Amino acid sequence: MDIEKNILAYLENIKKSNINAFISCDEDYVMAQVSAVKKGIEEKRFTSKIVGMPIAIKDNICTKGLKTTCASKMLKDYVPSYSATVIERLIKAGAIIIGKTNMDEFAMGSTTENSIFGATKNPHNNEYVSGGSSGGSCAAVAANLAVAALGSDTGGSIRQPAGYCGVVGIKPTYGTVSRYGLIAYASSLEQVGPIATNVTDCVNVLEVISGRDKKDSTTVNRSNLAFSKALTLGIKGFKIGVPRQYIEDADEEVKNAILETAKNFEKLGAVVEYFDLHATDYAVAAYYIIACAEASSNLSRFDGVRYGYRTDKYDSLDEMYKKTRSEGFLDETKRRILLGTFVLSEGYYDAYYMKAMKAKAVIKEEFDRVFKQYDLILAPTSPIKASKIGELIKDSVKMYLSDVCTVATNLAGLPAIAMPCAKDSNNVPIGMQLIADRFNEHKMIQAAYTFEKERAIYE
Amino acid sequence: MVLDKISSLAKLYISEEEREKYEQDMQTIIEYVDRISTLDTDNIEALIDINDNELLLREDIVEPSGLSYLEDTFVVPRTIE
Repeated sequence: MDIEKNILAYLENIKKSNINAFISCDEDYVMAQVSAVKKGIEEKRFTSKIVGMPIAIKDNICTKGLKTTCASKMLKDYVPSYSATVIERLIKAGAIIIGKTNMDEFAMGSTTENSIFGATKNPHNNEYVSGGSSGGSCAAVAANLAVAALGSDTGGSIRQPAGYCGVVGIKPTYGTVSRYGLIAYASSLEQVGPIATNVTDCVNVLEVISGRDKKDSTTVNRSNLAFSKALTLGIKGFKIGVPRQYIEDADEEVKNAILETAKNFEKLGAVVEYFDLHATDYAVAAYYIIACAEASSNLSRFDGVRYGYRTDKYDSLDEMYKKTRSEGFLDETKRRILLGTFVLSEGYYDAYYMKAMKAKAVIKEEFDRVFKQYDLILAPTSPIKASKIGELIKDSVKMYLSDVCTVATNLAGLPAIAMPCAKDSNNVPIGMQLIADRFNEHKMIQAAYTFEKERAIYE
Repeated sequence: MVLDKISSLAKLYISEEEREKYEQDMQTIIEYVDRISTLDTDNIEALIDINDNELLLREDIVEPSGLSYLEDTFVVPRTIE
C-alpha cells in the first residue's frame, strides 16, 4: 500500500468534510510522520499491524507540538511539551496521527455539543448529534476521515458515540491503558480506548496502546494482552445476560434493537437470559457524585497561572483565578465542578462522596456475582435514540439519566465493546454493547467478532 | 447561601444573571443524587482502588523543566503587585 497516497486521500476527505469532526489537522505534521514511517518501513523497524494507519486523536490526549484544547477556551492555544504514552506507542508502532478531534469540553457531556468549536454532526444524519464526549473521534471514523481513532470513556464516552455513529468502540478494563497524557476528568473511572469501523482494526489498535506504564501507577501488569488472539469465531454456549432495567424504560426502537440482537445471539448459539441489575437504581447518582468530585479536583489546576487562558483584568490573585475560570469554562463544566465541590465540602462529604464510594463497592460486588452466572452482559449503549442537535443540551438531568446504560461499567472498572446493531427511524445507528468481567476482554471480543462476521449489521 | 460558599471554594464567579439558573440546576441535580442515601451500605467499606494496585516507588529523576529560572527560583508572570 502506498502510505503517502493513502494519507493524502484522507487529508482530502478531512478538508471536504462538513461534519466538524476535527478541531485541528496539521498537514505538515502529518506528512512529516509519513516520511518517518516510510523510513521506518525501509529500516524494517515496525512489527505492528497498524503501520501507516491514519488515526484521529480525541483532543484531550496530549500530543507534543500539536494543540491539545479539550474543546475549551481554557486550553485553546495550549501546545503540550510531551505526548501521552498512548501517542508514543502509536508512533512507535508506525501509525500516523492524522488530527485532533472534537469533544465535549473536558469530556463532560454526552453529545459533543458542549464544545467551543460547535457541535459535531452525525455522519448518518447531519441534523442529529454524534453522541459524546468522543463524538468527533467516532464521527471521523464513520465518515471515513480516519481508519481508527482514540477516545476516552469515563461514563460511556466511547461507547455511546460509537453506537450513534455506527462504529466499533472499546472501553478497556480499568488499568489496561495508560492515562499518562490524558487530560484528567475523573481519574478513577476513565480509560483511553480505540474506535474503528470493524472489530479487527479496533482490537489491533488496542493491543498497541495497552500495557503497564511506569508513568501511570494505576496501570496493571497484565499477562493477557494479546487481544487479537480473541478474533476467532464462535459463541456456542456463551451465557449472555440482559439487564431488564436497561431496556424497560428505553425508547421503543432501542428496546426492539436489543431484543432483536439477543435473538441473533441465540441463533449464533449463545444462551440469553434477562436479569435484574439492582445497581441501576443508584449507579447514575454514584457516578455523578464521584466523577464530579474528582473533576473539581482535577480541574483546579486551571488557574491562569502557568499555562492556558488567563483573564485580562483583575485586581487580586483571587479575582484572577475566579475570572479566568469563569470565562474559561463553559456552563456544563462549571456545573460539574460546583457539584463536585459541594459533595466534598464540610458537612456533606460523608453523606454524598463517602456514600457514593460505598455504593461503588456494592455495585462492584453485584457485578462480581453477575459474572459468576454470565460470560457477558448485553446492553444498549444508550436508552434513547440520538437526539437532534440542540435538543438534549438544554436539560442537564435528562442528559445525565441517558448515561444509565454505561456508567456502572466505569464504576466497576469493567471492559466493554460497543458496535451498531440497528438503525433508527431517522437513519441514525443504534448501538449495543457487550460488557465482560474485568480482564476478560477476550470474551467480549470473540462475541463481537462473531456477531460482526456472521450477521449483516443493517441493510 | 450554599451556592456562594461552593462557588467561592471552586474559584468560580456566578453572575447575578446566571445565579437563578445555577441554583435551580444545582437543586435539581442534588435532589436526584440524594437517592444514594436510600442504599444500604452498613458494614461496606468505601472502594478506593478497583484493582487494589501496589504503589511502586522509585528514586527522583532530574529532567529539564523548560521553565526559565533565576538562581534557585522559577520565573513566572507577576500575579501579586
